Parts: sequence; structure tokens; C-alpha cells
Amino acid sequence: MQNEFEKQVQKKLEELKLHPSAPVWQNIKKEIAPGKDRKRILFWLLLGAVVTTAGFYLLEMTPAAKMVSANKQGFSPARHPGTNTIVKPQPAPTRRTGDTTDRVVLPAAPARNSTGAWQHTAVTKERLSTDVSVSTMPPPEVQNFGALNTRRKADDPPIGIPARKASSAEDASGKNRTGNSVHPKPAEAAPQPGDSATTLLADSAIAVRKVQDELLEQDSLATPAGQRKTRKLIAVIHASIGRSKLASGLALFDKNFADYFSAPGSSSGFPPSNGLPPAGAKPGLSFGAGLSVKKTLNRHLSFSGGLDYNFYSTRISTGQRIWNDTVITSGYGSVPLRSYYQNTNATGHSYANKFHFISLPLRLEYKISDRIPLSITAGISLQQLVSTNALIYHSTGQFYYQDKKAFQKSQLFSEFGISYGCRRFSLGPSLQYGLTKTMRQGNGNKHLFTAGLKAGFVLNK
Amino acid sequence: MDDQRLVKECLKGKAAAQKQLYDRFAVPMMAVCYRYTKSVADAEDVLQEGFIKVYRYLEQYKSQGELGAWIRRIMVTTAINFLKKNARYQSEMVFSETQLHAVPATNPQIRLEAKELADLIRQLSPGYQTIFNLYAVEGYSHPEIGSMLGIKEGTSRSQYARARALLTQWIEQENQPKNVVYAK
Repeated sequence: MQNEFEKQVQKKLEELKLHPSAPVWQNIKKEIAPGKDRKRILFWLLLGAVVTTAGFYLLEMTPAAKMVSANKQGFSPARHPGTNTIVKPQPAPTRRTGDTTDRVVLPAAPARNSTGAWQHTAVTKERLSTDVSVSTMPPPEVQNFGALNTRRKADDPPIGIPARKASSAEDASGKNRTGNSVHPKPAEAAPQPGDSATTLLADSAIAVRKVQDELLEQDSLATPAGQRKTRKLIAVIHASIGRSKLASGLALFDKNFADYFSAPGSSSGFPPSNGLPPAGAKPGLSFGAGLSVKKTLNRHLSFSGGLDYNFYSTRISTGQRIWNDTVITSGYGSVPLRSYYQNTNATGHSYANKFHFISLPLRLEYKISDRIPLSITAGISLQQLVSTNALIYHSTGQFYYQDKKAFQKSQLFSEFGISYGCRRFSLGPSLQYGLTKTMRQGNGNKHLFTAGLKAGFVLNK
Repeated sequence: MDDQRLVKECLKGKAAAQKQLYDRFAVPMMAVCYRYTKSVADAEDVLQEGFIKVYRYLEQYKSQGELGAWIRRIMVTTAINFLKKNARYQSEMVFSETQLHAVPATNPQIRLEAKELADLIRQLSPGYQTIFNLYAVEGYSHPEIGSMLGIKEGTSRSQYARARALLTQWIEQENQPKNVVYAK
């Protein structure tokens, strides 16, 4: 209870006016200026750039893109002078019984049309007798083997259209062996009504030849080796599950470590404490998932970067939640609260401190040997805390409360793992350790630590 | 502009409102910081850090009492944290368990100027100075002081009694007329 002296002191000191110097406001203005968010904006821009780049690489390696690039290079078998084109053996012509004799009339020598393109003409059949019969002999695809033994020149007629050659049944005068005149051949230019099946076969064969010609034309442009481009960028999705806890520095398994979050205590207007020390936190569930792009550096070494989501948690025991609008003061300054949790020293409700991170990992993978698909992975990841509900223990007031601003938003983690690969899958243990302290400031050297299993699946091997 | 509107404008990020908030409270808060520290430079450091926290936590104000009182509480806690972290004050911010002192019954009249009184308070050791400021000036109770500083209530009472005794002694000395020697 204050007496007169204290009242005098208060009244007198209310008259005290002191003016701070000008640089004080300048410094405050700099701190509260929007530029402070620049770091956060830069982080998300970097994140977006990484995701976009990874997306482009993935699109580049899709099967559709592969096919387009293969067509551009011109897929065709290697051609060397002196080899013959493989010719599908033609079935032997069938003849109708009787006195009819069919004669295959080879198409006239191909000629260029007005546009300069080669004209394909259909192979027709001429009946030497009065009987009408239809030959089932398909038009020959190749007649002149000799022409194939020389390298085809650009000006040569398309292969498959043989040069017109007088058959044995026909002499230069146009008469056949029997001396009969060869009927005029309007059908040489146009198919006869009775020869529709032959015409269809001929047309389809010509269409096939056209495609082959185009491919053969591109043959000169084909890569000499005709090899497929080896893939150097591999997309991998991975997931992990394990347990996470707080570690004091590098003492990962110190049982005596008081692994709870605490703030330098000061309190104002809070009920007196019950004298119970807080219960230590227990390990909680952790899991993660992500996508990374791996680049092979050499036979043993590869490098990968990507985008991950990581979840860590620890479990504590708290007492009843008290709803009470108040302001507390601690080492982090004044914190207004809507509620807080009592401390009951492990006899209360279980509460999970959850941490959600988005991370950008960079990893080096070393394949131990070619025979055994065992790899060692080491790396670092920059992780951004996007959300947390973790409770902080107020050591003086002895209660738990939430203050998201007390935690480090950007944290650096180290990673280490071993994986065994089988075809596209890999599996093995994995560890992650937070190199940055979990809390911005406060007592204790607390780092998040997780250990578990990690599985990977290669998307585009 | 009243406090509510001023806070809203500051939360919108308007520089003029932020400056107005600073201009309104900087002078009295500087006096608060001055009483807790040993130098003007330290007082300005505390003031700067305190106002940064004010702007940072302004969205959580929610009209909980007067804006001035809310800012003052932030300044006090900032000052205490500054004393705890600063190497110059750390060694003297140890509150040992001393023999209980009775609060002196004297209530001397304070005829000093405000600044002179503040300077007398600043002559106390940091521990006494802090507890005296918290109890006599800010109006915190000894249990509250104990939880703020991490000490027992009894230690807070004892330390305050000692601080008050010293201060009243100095005030009484200042109140005594100066001996003037007249030349014969």
C-alpha cells in the first residue's frame, strides 16, 4: 500500500518531460517500414522461381516432348551405300485357269508434274484374251534391285516406282510375243472399272511408299549414330515419416534435457503459480513430402533440388485452458492473450505442438557402388515456418501460451540419409536437424530434430 | 485524432498516423525510460526498441484500457529486458536474499524538481532503482514485481525498503538548507 511518499514521487515525476533526439524516430521509421517484408517477398519469389524451373524441366522430359524431339532428328535406320532396301516378298501371281493369260503392265516411267513432284501411276493388268479376269497379283513394290545398290540421288524418282522396262511379253514395237498388238492403255493412266481391287492395293502400296520415301529423304539429316539422348535430369517424388523432438544443441538423445519451449519470464497481473515444474515434451509425429529434380553429375554423384512440405510435432501435457483476455509481458515483449493453459506437470491433457514448414532442399547423393544400389544423401534445406500452434512455457507465471512471433520463421536444416534403390523406388532412414534455433530469442539452445524413413519414386527414368 | 482512430490509421500503415502516435507519447515515455537507465543514450535505446514493439504489436491492442497505459507497460518491460541483457547492468541486477528491512516511516517533503528527483532515483543501484520504479512510480505490487523480475515477493519488499530508505535520506539531505558561511 502506497503512502504519501510514493504519491508525491508519482506526482512529481509526471511533470518530467524529456525529448528524445531526432535519430530515434528515424531508426524506428526504418524498422517499421514495409521494406522489412522484403525478405519474405524475396523468399516467395525464389520459391516460385524454383517451382517454375522444376516444372519446365519436367515438361521438357515428358513423353510427348520426347516424341517431338525424336521426329525432328529423323528416326530412321542407318543407311549405307550398297545395302538393299528390304522388300517384302510379293505373293506369286495367280492365274485363272483357262486360255486366259494375264499380263502385268508395268507403269510408265514416272514423270514430274508441273509442280516438280513425282507422279505415281497405278499398276494395271491387261487381259491378253477375250476373257476378263482379274489378276490378284499386287503391283510390285520394287522392280529394279540394281537401282538400290547405288546411293539414291535427290533427283532420282521415288524408290518403288520402277523405271519402265520392256517386259519379255512385249517388244519395243508394242506388240506382245504372240504378235498381238497391245491394246492401247488408257488404263495406264487411269484404273479400269474392272480393276478396282488392284487399284486399291496399288494406291495403298503407293501411300506406304510415300511415307517411306519421306523418312528416307530425311535419312540424310539423321544423326550419324541414331542414338537417343540420354536423360540427365530426373524428377523424383518422395515422402517421409518419423518422429520429431526438440534437441539441446547437438545432444540429440539427452534424456535430462527440458525439451519444452520457454520464454524469459515476466508476468503482470497473473495468478500466482502452483509451484509445479513443467512436464517435458515427448517426441511427436513428423512427416514430409516433396518433389525434387535430380541431375546426374557423374557415375556416383548426383545433385538435386526441389520443394518440400515438412511437418514436425512434439507432445506436452497441459492443464485446463483458461479463457481470459489479458496482456502478459515476457522476454518477447507484451503479448495480448485470449487464453492460456495451466501447468499441471504431466497430469493433464495431451497437447501437440505442431510446426508446418515449406522447404527448399539441396541434396548431394553419392552412390556407393554400381553393384549395390545403395546411396548416401547429405544436404541442407531452407525451411519457412508457415504455421504453428506451439505453446510456450512462461517460467515465472508457470503457464503455457501461444506466441507465434516467438519462433524463428526461416530456419536452416541439415539432412542425412541412406537409401536402397530398386528400379524406380528407394527406401531408407533419414535424419533432419535444425541448425537454426527454433525460437527467436530466449533461454535454451533448442533445435528441431527428426528421424524416420524416407521413400522415393522416380517419375521419369 | 482520438486514440482509437489513431490506432486504426497506424494499422493501415499511414506514415502520418505513425508519426503522430510517436509524437504524442515519445516525451512521457522517454521520461519512463530515463528513470530505468543510467544514461540518456541507454534511455533512447530502450525508447526506440519499445516503440518498435508498440508498432509491431499494435494490432493486438484491442482497446484494452488507455493507449498510453498500454504503451507504458511495453516500455517498462522493454526497459527491464534491456537491463537484463545489457552487460553493464547484468551484474547489478542480481537480487540477493537480504535481511528484511522495515519500510521507513518517514515521508519527507519533496521539494526537488522532477528531473532532480529522477536523477536521485538513478543514483540507486540498478536493482534498487528498478524495484523502486516498479513499486513507487508504476504502482505494481510486490507479487507482480516478483514475477516480473523472477524474485520472491519477500526479496522485492526488502529491496524496496532499502531503496526507499536511501532515497528518503538523500531527499532530506537535499531539503536541508545549504550552510552559508558569511564572511565576517
